[in-house]
Amino acid sequence: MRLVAVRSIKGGSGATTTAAHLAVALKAEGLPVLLIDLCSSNMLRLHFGMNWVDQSGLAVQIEKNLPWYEASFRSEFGIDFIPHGYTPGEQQGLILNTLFAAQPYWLKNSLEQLDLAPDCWVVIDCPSNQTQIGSIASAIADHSLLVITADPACYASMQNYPLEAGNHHYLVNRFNPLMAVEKDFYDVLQADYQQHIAPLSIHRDESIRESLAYKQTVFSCAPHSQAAHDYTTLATWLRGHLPAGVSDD
Amino acid sequence: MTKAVTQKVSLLERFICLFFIPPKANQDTPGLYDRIAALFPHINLKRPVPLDIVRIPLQIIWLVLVKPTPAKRISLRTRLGQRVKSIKALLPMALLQRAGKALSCPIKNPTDVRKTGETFATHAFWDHPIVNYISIFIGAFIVFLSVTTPFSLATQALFVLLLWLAAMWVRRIPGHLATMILIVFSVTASSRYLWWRFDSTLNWDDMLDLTLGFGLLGAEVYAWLVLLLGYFQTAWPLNREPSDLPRDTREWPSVDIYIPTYNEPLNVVRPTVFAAQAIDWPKDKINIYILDDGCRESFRDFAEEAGVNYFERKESTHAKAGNLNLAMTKTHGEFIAIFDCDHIPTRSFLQTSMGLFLKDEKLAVIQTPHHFFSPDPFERNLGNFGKVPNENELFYGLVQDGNDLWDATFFCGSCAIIKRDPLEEIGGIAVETVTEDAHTSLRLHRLGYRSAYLSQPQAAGLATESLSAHVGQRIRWARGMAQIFRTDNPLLGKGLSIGQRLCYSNAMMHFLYGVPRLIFLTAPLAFLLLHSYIIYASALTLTLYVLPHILHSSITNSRIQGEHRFSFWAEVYETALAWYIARPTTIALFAPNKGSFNVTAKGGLVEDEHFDWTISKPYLALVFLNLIGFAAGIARLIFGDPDEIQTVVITLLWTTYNLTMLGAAMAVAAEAKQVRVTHRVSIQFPVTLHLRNGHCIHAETSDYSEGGLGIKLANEGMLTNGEELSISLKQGTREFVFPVRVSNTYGTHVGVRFKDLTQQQEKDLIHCTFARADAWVDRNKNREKDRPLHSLKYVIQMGIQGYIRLYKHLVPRIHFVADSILYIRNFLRWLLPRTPVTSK
Repeated sequence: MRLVAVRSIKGGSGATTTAAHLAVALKAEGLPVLLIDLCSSNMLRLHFGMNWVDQSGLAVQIEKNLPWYEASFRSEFGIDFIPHGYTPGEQQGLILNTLFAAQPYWLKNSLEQLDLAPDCWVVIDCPSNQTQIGSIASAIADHSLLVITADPACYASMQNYPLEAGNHHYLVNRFNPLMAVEKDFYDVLQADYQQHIAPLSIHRDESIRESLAYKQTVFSCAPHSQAAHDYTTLATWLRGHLPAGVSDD
Repeated sequence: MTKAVTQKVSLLERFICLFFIPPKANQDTPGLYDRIAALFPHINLKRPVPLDIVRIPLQIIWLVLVKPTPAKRISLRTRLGQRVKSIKALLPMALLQRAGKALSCPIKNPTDVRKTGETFATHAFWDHPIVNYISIFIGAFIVFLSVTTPFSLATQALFVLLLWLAAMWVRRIPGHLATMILIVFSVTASSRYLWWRFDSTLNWDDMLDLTLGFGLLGAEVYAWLVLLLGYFQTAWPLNREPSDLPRDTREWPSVDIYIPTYNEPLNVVRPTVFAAQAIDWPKDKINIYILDDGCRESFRDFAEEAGVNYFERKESTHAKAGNLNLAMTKTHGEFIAIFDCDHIPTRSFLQTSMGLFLKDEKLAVIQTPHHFFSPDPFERNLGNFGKVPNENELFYGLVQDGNDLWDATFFCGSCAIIKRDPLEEIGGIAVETVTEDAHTSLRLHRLGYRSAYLSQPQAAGLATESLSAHVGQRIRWARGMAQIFRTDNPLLGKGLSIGQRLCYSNAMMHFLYGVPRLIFLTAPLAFLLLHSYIIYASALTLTLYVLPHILHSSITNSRIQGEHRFSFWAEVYETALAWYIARPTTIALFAPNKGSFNVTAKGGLVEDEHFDWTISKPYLALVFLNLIGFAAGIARLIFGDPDEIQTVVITLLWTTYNLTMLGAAMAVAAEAKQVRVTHRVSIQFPVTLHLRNGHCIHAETSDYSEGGLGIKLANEGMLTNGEELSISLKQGTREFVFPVRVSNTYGTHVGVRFKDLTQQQEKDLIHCTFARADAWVDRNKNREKDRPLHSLKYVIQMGIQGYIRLYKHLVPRIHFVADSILYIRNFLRWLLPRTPVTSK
């Protein structure tokens, strides 16, 4: 089992979209994939056509003391995912936070209990504001992706978050080489962070927004788009980029 | 395979179904419409044309009269081919198995035997020096015996057969030892032939016969020498690997890049300069110089804009060599890299090569291949660009690599790096001959310096534009090499090792093929026209001696050179150039100082499709002579001495071969029209299209030219003509954007043109295209391997093409008539009924 934790430095950088598409790209390479949404905004499920009104999810199960894994769904295109779920009231957003604070090993133990195939990839979408969940997830993950954008605001935020030791990589998202600011900041990021930056970027592509409007991913909506190609490259790179001490599956 | 029609449709059914609506087809059997359409193969029933009123009834009448042919009938030729293959495969195996049974050690199957043979052949045991010497000695002794022992006719026939069978078997074994064995066979066969020629085929009784016989024999000795030296030169290519540079870039030496130019247009030089600026090397250790022999304002201005140095020269003494020597006095780099103005380097040029210099103090020259991204006249006019390796490939793909083993790689004038100190020691680039490059490296070798060759192309440039420019370039090389052979002969003088002497001699002797080739092209006429016995032997004996000589050298050369030169093409190249280099080389051999230097023209445009009459005069003369000879031969067959029929037939065959080669040379003289000024280079890398509506499409380029790019998309209709968008290309981690407009769409292929690029954008474009380190890595992706018979067939087709083109250009009015006949023939084929093909 390989675990990938995806989070963003600054909210709205596109971690959820990246996690969703990474899972689809890995599935397209023939690997079993499980996608878990730990973000209280509950947006991940929308990439897979889940019904608006269906509020079931991880947080709901935990709140009601039911088995958490029973809130899993399979999309039309064969992706297995566990949405966060929607619990009305002030509890929304705090359930998982409380759980992780009380039981830091909950995630690790729970994943081990599942009967996953040995070459299964688990992709976890972590929230950007509740940093505790993000750090716990990335600490136990084989790969940790921090999604950033090449602009001054994100660059400034990065100064406050020094990169922890371990297999962490920055991934530049929504890259638009036509804009001078993005081109320049991309070069600055390359110079400053060198091998900590993933050797590819996800281009800014309207196909991503349009496919979300269809409640699908770019792989089904615009398979020849640059975004689809970028996510496929990301999946390939991750597969080949082995963390220290892990043998190839 | 699709399910074919399984039942015969009756005649009545056919008529009736033409009038009723056909029922819907189920999945397994094709619908009625499909069955009927199969009976009218040349008519599109869904889109009838007016004349179908005539065609359909004609076809119906035809169908009544004729049965449809079954599809699966295998042609006779294929069946024969299969039969022959099975016999061939069995023969050595059958013999071997019987032998095995007789010796009571059963051999299981052909694969086992082959594997055993291969393990034996490629065992490390053979690399031991003592084993090498012993096997060479034994080989030499056997060769000597087999060359000089006279055989009776029957014995010779048996010898030839055995040698042939052995070669056919050894040929299937991969590995170096098998190549060596094939070389030994070829040397034996050819030496035996030559010995026999000296021994028994000169007619000492007749003066004319003797003189002409000696002439032919001289040409044959030349061919034999070149064959042997060629084996020596190319049997062990070194495949040298680059060395690593030290990690500290402060230890890297300084390099001057010279880009000499004389009369080439600026748009040819710009990409070279931009690519030179993109070379990965510390900026303080690299200096780029444009050396302008033509003193042009536009070049000076461009150099200032681009930020490179500019030298000009008022007098043009000693052409390029003088230009380079003057620049050497004004610059200080420890190493000098030289690029012809149209040879565009990749960014990895210095980093790949310089490591070798730092490892070896005595290394003075590193040469890299001249790769051409445009077709040379042979490729363009014969239409085989990309399919058949061009003339250059043998030299840069194999010969230089073979030279490298003997430390005999020579400088070729461009895409090379020379160390300054040794160069100054020999007094700069040599100016005494017109091939200053080879002469310079010869002098460096004499002083004990070494040279190296890296076989991966690190630069690419333009091939010669037209046949006349090509011939001019070859004349210069040939003249220069003959001059060096005469004035600074590598076989004499001190400072060279044996290997170097032989390799340099072969390189120079190669260019003396003019006179021998002309002798070969006219030799059969001696018998046909003058009835002179230049080969005093019976036809059968001649066949038994000549055939193994030709066959073995073909097989062995195909084995050694197969990837870089297809069989029989050497004859085509030589035939095309023989007349032109014959005189300059002969003059240069006797009076090396006579003769002038002519510059190779680059960057011109072949405006019109035309036949180069000037260039092809010699071919026409030779064709004329050979045709007269052919006619005389036919006359001899009918009216002449019946005892001589065999000889006449053989001579006629030889004449036909000569005519074919001359035809191929003429085919090249019919210049194909060059449609665009800038060359289209086939180059594939990923590109991102940024559309106005925010969508990004991932695509791949198919080709690149100065003003635009060809892009291959996944689907049709993704872009419209005239659409404006941006494209971005990656270079490492950086991404560069270029504004473009769609200029044409054709299915999934789209052509875009760049819109007013700034100089920085032009630079970026070169960095992303020509200057990529991997730009020329998969240039031979679609290359097939040499198949001698296939290649012969292709050359014969080219020969016939040559005559057709000659005919077309010769008489334009008759050309029109021929076209009309063709048109009428095509119309009749379209109109008249055709037998449909069905399978049972």
